[in-house]
Amino acid sequence: MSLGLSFSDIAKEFHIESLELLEAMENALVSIRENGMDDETINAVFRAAHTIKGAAGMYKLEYVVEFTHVAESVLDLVRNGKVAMSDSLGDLFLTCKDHMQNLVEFAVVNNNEKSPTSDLLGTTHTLNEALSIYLGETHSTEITPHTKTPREKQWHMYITFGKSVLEQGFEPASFLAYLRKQSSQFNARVDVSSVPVIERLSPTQCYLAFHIDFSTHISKEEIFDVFDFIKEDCTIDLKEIEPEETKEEPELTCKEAIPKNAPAQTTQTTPNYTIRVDAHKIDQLINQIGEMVIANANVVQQSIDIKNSDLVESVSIVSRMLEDIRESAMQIRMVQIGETFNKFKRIVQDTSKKLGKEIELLIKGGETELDKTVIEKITDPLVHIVRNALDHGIELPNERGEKPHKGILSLNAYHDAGTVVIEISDDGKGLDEEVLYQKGVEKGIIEEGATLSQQEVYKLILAPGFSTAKEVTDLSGRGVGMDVVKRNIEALRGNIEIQSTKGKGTSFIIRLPLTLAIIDGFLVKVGEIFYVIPLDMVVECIELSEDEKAQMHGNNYINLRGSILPLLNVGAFFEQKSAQTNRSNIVVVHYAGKRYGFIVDELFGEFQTVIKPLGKIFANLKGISGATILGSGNVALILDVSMLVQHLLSLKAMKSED
Amino acid sequence: MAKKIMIVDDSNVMRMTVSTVLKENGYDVVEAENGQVALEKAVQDVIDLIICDVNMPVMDGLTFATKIKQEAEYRFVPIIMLTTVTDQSFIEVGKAAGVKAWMIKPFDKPKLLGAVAKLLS
Repeated sequence: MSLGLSFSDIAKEFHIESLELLEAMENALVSIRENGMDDETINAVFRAAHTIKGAAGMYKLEYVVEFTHVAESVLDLVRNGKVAMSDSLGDLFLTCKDHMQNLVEFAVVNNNEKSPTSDLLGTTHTLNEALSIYLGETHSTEITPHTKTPREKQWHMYITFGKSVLEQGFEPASFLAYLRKQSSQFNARVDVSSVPVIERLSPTQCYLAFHIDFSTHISKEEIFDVFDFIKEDCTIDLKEIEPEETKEEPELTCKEAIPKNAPAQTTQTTPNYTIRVDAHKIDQLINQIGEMVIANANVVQQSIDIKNSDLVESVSIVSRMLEDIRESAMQIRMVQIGETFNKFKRIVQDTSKKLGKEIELLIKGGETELDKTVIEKITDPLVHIVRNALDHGIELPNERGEKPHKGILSLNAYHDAGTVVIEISDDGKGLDEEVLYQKGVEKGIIEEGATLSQQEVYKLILAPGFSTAKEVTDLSGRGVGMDVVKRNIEALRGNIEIQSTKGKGTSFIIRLPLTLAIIDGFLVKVGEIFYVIPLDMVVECIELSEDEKAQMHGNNYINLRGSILPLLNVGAFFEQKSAQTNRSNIVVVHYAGKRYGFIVDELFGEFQTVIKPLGKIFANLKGISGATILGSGNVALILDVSMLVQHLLSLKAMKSED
Repeated sequence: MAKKIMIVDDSNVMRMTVSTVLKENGYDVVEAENGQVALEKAVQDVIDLIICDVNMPVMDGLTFATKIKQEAEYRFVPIIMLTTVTDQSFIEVGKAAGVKAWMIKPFDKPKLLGAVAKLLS
């Protein structure tokens, strides 16, 4: 059968679609494990398997179809209530989901040209056997003939709650919420016409009534039963609606009207439309807008030079609009971190089970947005930190002393001054400075007797070679240590801070830039070359007078308001033949909680710019993290502050040995 | 003028596949990822035939078929269900809603094209 399309034409789509479906499946399964099963959730799991099977069937991915078919059959039985959902079945489905993913990946990687490896087939076989137990179960129990659930009927209800319903201790919203659960469609409109003027409003009385349009399979009696507890006090008017009549446009609808003791607000729900766009196209758009910003900077400069005020005015309007456009374009790339956080639900559940620990995951700030590339690159480090916290941070229930037996791991994300902060905190045993220090010495990472700040001691756990293969359980990493965490975060121009209280817990605080494409910089010049220092690292600028220059202690440090400020001569570092100017400026930067001074010739001030990555040739160039083009067409180099500071520290270490 | 066919399926892969087959044979194609979207698109457009999946999120195919048949413009527009569902009770619901053909995935290209041509003539 030729379809006109071959697998390779569709492989990318198939891959993306399958991964999305599998993720939805995992989320649904995890939610079932947490909150119990409801029709919609199990249906989502079923549908995911079903859709993958359908697509795989079109392109003759037999090994995907066969396996998915078995899982789907069991899911169908669960969906129809013929097999009970249990924790162990949920685990089995999760394992099946993983296996489906492996099969799909295999198909895509090999372009459906190879038969699956014996490993994959072995897993298929094992899982099929496990699943067939459930299939077998039904052959004996399938006595009830397959009856479709009764057809849904549509209803209109007008319900007025008794005024004293709140005083009697009932929450009207909960009845509506329950009814909503039983309904496939549910639109409630709140009727506030009987709410009195504020002077006569008693906060303990309920004045609300609701118009509800819903469709459900439960019978009329069952609908009344929902309100059984409060039926004496409320009036219910229930009408069945013929399907034709319900074609009216839903007006102001309120998804879940919650009558508090004040009139509820009605909100309009609009469907959330999304369009799928190739990420490459967005990158291209952002790149082009970046070029445009650069070109515009040139226009601005020219217009100022021409000194025509009308022109300057017009140009500034264009600049402002361009700024808005760039902002919007960047917004396209922004995605919520919630989806990534949700992945940890399963990791936490699985891991705590494996370790015999009781751990609860708290997620906050899932709606925080950041660049998709940043999210992709931060996921791995997060997994490492989380696993580490589960494995080494949180104690076994009987070791937790006075703390509740259930450990808490919380993930929190929020925006803070142009950066995104992600916190991973546990309420475990905390870090032991002495143990860390000793181990650091043993592993040869630090010298015996070296003075380290608390932060430096904590950060030893991020040092390469700190956790050895022996200690890496299958949980804490796939053979890579926590040093990956530090490296990845630094590659994102972010930083990590560790806070810990012994016996109380540990927090990893990661700060990341909102986006990788744009940098708020501080423009300086040394000799003929422009440099950009990331603005969030700049603390202040100092101009050095001749007097102060004399006290510069051989260019190594100055005394800044009573504390020592180590200095780095940027021109000397890059071996520039810098013409000695009489003016010297120092840009004070803070990095990892300390201050350092960079000696430069001229200061130009704040400057927002688009980062252009350096070519591969410059991969080994130290101290430069990227480049940008100025309005004048000149190239400015972006300084890699963390690298320069490390250089400075190594110089200091060498000097102190002398 | 080329006849316009709407494909309703939540699987992007499936939509792309059917749509390629149809376009190669000179039909115009409109895609929708669920019944709800299909309803919205249908009332704003003139569609000559609908190919529809059954199990979809938001609004399933049978509900969609029932609803679209209530629109005056769509009373006589043929609907083909293209699905993996073979359950007789579903097929009955489909028939009652006015579905003209029930085809099983994975589909056979000549059969699908044959059914489309026949229903459009």
